[in-house]
Amino acid sequence: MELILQSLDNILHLNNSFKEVVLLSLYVSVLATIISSIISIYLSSYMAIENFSGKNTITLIFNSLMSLPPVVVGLILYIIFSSSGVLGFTDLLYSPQIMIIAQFIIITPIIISLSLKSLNDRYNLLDDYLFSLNTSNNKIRRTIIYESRYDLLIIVITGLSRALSEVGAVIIVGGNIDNLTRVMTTSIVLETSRGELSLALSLGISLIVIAITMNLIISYIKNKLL
Amino acid sequence: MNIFSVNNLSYKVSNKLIIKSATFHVKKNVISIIKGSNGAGKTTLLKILFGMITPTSGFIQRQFDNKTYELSYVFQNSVFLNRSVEDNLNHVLFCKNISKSKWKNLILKTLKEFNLDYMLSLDLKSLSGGELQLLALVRAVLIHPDILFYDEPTNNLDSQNIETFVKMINKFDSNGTSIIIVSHDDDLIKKLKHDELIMKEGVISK
Repeated sequence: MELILQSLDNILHLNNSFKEVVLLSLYVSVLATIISSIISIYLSSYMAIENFSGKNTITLIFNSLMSLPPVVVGLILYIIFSSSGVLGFTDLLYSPQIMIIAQFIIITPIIISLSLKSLNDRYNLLDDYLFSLNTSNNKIRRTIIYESRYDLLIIVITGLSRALSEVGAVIIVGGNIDNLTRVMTTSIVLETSRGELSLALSLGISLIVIAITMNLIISYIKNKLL
Repeated sequence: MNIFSVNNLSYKVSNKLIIKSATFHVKKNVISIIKGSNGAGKTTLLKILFGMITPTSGFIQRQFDNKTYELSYVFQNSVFLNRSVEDNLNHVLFCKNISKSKWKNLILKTLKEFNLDYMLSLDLKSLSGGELQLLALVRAVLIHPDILFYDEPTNNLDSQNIETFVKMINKFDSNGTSIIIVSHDDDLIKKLKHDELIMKEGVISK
């Protein structure tokens, strides 16, 4: 009971180390999600309306990459960005930037695959009407993106949830360094192993609150707007 | 003068011949009605004339400039965007690169012309099937097309809406729009002064 009270106290009084970890988590995951969403939705809208050779293969690859193990992403990035790696000179290892890259790689196939499905469905519904307007592909893309806006918002929130809850990749490339690359998930792992259960629990509760909030937003969008 | 000269046109899907060696002309500035029972291939023919479907064989001569001529198509079951009535109409003008400052006036003028301006204050989801059909027609004529393609116009229309529809079609006809209608509704066909093509089991005759 004392443990729970202490955890809640950390959250309510915004304990400094707690605050830094939460803010860094949000910074890394939100930025990775924004960058990934812009690229993924644009790419998906292009794939939805254009026919080109290899389209099915590319779709299959993105679908398969949805289940990409985060630790493998972390390991590959570690090899590439370590001092002896191809991109070692960039000095990005153990920085928030490499964590953003890792999360971007993990969530991009998810956002692309789900967006492509949604945009494809919308395009199939509207293609005769859009064809009859004899308009540019750019305007067709803008139309189907706007028409799928609520579905896409749900997909983006799903991507953000995935990024926030990810631990395998960011612990390898970020190194879980205090005041620099320590995020909620990696901090929970560390604090638990150190026996600092109240801080670990505070972060766990925060993660759950964020997950519930996102689910509430998704459910609101589904019920009210769709 | 003709706008379409069709020569020996056929269309096949999975070895089934939908249109069989059709040869005919569509005149300019008149209402042409392609008449026939369900499944005769009328919609397929209309889509081929519009350019939505490529024929298996044959030749269509379009005697107009594709770049300057505006073509509009009203579908049998029109789909609408998940937006308000006004935004559905705005979307057409957006796609046709019409200056945004002209949208409101153009929409209001077209709707008022046929006493349909009440629709602007309604939710798209509250419109009846007949009202949606008329809205689809308004959406198609906003840009003042040179050729209007219309697939089964009287579907979902009650007698009052049919009168509105006939009034709209006659107005566009008098404005010089070439209109190609596909229909199996004899009552409607009687109400419009038109050129008739009859289609039966994929074969077209005058």
